[in-house]
Amino acid sequence: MFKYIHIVVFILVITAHFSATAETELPCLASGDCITQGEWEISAAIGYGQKTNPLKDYDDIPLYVLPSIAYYGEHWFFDNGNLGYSLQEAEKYSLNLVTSYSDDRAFFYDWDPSNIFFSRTTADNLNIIPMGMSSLSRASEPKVFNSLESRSFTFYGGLEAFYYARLGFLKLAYAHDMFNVHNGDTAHVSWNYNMAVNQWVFDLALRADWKSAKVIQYYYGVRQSENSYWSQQYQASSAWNTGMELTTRYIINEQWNILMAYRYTALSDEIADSPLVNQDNSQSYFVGAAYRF
Amino acid sequence: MKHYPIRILYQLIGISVLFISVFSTIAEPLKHQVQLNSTPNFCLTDDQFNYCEIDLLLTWNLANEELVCIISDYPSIPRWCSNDTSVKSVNLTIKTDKDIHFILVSKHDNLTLAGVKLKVNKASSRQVRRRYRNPWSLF
Repeated sequence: MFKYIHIVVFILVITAHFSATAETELPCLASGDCITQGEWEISAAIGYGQKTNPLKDYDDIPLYVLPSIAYYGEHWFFDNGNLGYSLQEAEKYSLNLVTSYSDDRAFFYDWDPSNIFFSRTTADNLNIIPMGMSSLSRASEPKVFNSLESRSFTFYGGLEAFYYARLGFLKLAYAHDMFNVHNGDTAHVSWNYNMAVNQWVFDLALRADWKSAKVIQYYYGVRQSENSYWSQQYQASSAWNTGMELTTRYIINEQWNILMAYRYTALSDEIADSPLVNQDNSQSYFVGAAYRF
Repeated sequence: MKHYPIRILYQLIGISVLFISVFSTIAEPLKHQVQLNSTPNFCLTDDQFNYCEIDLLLTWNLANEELVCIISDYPSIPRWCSNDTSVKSVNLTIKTDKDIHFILVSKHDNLTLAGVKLKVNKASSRQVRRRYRNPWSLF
């Protein structure tokens, strides 16, 4: 409890400090960084892509349609499922209170907000073999899992800060599970760089995502009903996923873009060691045409 | 006799209080007797055109009945004068992109009586702000 009081005090102190020093001008760094205030921006990309699923016996996730929905008011904003409130916006930095959701659950459920896809096999009675272990050492270990229990959806709430520089911007974020689903925490660090060359726009991000032990245990841990052996054997601790993503757009006109996107996420050893997981990474790609309504 | 200076002092104080109260009550209405008002007193330009076009009503109140003129820094109406003391207003059609200052002056001696300013405010153009997510962050 005291931890959260400290966080709130910290936010208030930082806000008060920034209030005294913030500049009101908010220049945008490049096209695509900005959005018209007070107007919905709705786009949809149709094409084909795939997200590899690191879960054992779960199919990769095909991607056909990507939506992009955002609304930014004077302070509040909604952006692809994230709700935020800008505490401070200045030329060099921004500070937001924001909600977000986990991308971990998307591996388990078709209609998780992180996924837009149409088919996937479910995995009742999984034949799961933890990666990185020899078959000899697993001779006595049970490979068959019962149906997985639900991994509930939750929203995280926290604080995010942006620092803008000539060579891109730094994003730092920290969030806590708001609905006591697992009471876990996440943190995020990324360096983002965008560049426009004629009709081409490139967005590159190098990122690292920290997940607390509670988050990893909730999604990648094994419940007693799923497999009593592994529920005892696998106990997660906190860890970092790292990755990069590149989004390339070719601007045809104000309405139409060609969209090409690729994302690579190296799963932390803690997640890769889960008996539910048989890959140490997840990759996504999408190629399509995007239309702005 | 020995209280004479004190009595004089009290009389002076009494007279001063009387003067102050009388002049303060008279000065107040005088200050407000001459007024020039503009309805409306501001207009907004729109996004498409950078000027505003409005019908403006100037009205005035005078302490004494007299003929007046209105001068302004608006080029189309350099000077307008009344020919009847009962006229207390004038309608103007204004098309401008900047503030206009109207001054009410006495017609016979050009003494400035009152003034009013029409403010022109730029309609705020569409504001943009930073977008904090890659548009395709759901990917």
